[in-house]
Amino acid sequence: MKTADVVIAANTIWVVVAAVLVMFMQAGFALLEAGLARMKNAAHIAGKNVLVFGVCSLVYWAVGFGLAFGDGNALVGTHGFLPSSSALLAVGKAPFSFFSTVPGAAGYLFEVVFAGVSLAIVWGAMAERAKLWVYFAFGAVFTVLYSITSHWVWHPGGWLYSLGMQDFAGSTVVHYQGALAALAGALLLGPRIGKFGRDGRANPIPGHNMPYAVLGTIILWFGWFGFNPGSTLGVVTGNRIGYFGYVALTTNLAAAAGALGGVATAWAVLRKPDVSMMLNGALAALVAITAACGFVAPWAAIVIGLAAGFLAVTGVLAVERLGIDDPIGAVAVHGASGVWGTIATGLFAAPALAANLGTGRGGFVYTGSLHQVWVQLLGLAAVGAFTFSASFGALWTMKRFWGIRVEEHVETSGLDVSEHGMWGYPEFYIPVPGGYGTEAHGHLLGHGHPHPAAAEPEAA
Amino acid sequence: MIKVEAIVLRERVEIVIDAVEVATGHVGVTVVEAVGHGRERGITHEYRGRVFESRFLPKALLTFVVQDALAPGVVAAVADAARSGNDSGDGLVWIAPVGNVTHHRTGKRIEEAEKR
Repeated sequence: MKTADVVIAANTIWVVVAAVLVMFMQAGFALLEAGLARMKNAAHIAGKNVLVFGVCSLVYWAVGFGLAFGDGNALVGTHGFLPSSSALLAVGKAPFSFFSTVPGAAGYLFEVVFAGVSLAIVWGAMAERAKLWVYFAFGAVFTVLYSITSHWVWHPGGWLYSLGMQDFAGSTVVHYQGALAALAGALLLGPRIGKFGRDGRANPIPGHNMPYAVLGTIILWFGWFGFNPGSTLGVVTGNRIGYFGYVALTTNLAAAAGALGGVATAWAVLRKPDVSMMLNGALAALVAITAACGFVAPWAAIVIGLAAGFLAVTGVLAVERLGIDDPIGAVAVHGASGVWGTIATGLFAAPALAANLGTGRGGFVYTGSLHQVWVQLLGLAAVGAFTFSASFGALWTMKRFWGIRVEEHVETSGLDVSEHGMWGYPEFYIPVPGGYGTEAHGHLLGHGHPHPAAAEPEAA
Repeated sequence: MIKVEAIVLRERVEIVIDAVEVATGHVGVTVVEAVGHGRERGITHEYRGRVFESRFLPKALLTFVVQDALAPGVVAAVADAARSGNDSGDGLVWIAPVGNVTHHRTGKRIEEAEKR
């Protein structure tokens, strides 16, 4: 093999491993969202991650990947729809000439899991009250919207990329954008029954399983080591070999600072070191460092993470104060922090690292110039205007013609039983044959007598 | 004193308690999660297309201990608020006299304490 082939092989291994790590973030979302939802919706909200990732994967293969990374113009990719095996196996050739050091298939896998993360964020703010068909319909719509803006920012032909916008792994593209659609959804759905009292004060609706939420957060943190470092798309970045290791380091520093910043802020503001706010702090920091991770010094990663931890707590409270019901905190954690991370990159980007990546310029603290900040703000404004209005328009249309919110009795009985015909925890709600309360307890008495035979199972 | 006991649907619990307070001014209730069934004999559930029977349905048992004069009002309020509009399963309300109703905190009979 030629050296160039070895580099392609190494790059492909890294990109596919990173893609698999990012795919596992769906497990993190499933546990986080189920943990922060009520028991009666647990199976539904965990299960919808599989559903929407399925929708996203197919739509992204059919049109999304071509729109985002196919060869095209400054606004959208125009080639690479329904790609064939030969298009996906080629390296650095049309229609996916963007992927110059990995096969198009590795590019698809890495990019589709990002689309899946962005889509997973959307439902956090729409949790516990949206109709099931909306997941299919809006999942497909959002995958297309996401693909268009990711072309703007990440494809070398995209207009924001050409302006030098720095968004290493997607604070804007993935997180802010998911949060914009989440906000549109939360506004159009309205709050859950009982979230706000008649006087407008917010009632807490506690999640049902904090260990789930903790485990979900840790899995997301783990997956982020694919998300950010994998966005190098290879093992050699500019003139740096193994640069992804450095990206992993800044990612971890920020997350650590965010967890501490979140819990400290909660302690100061809420007078309790709230566990869910600590989780939000860590996640918000991961969101914020996502744009900056390739561009900043370790100290800046810590500053970005700490500030994101503070923003997460105050953001969740502010969203609630505005009368918006966001059960998981998607708008604050992914939206506000996505904005912060994008701007922070313009503030803290180290000139040498930006030059090595070949994207934009050094940030304000090094150069004294606000140029990069303005580029970042322009990107936020453009993506914000496009994605929010398009998401709002799509969901408004669905609401107007078919309705996007479940009926009151469906919401009060819970989506598990009303949408899927079974609870997440059946034995909590109904006696189940051989279930809770019917177990033999002879072992506790030390008799060790054999259990009575269970009823004969029904003939198949 | 009179004990008013009611079996109600779990989702009606707060509605019933509020209705009792609005109608009679009585505050104070004990709620026990219960399972049981009436003439409908439980429910058939479906899981992955297979059916199974649950003899019992989730209900709540509410207990109010009230002054004799309030009892009819409490019963009426409970019956009215517990009605769901469903064909079956709304539950029952009944009363029974109880004696020596004593506060732990003061050690005094409630009748005497409230007569003051």
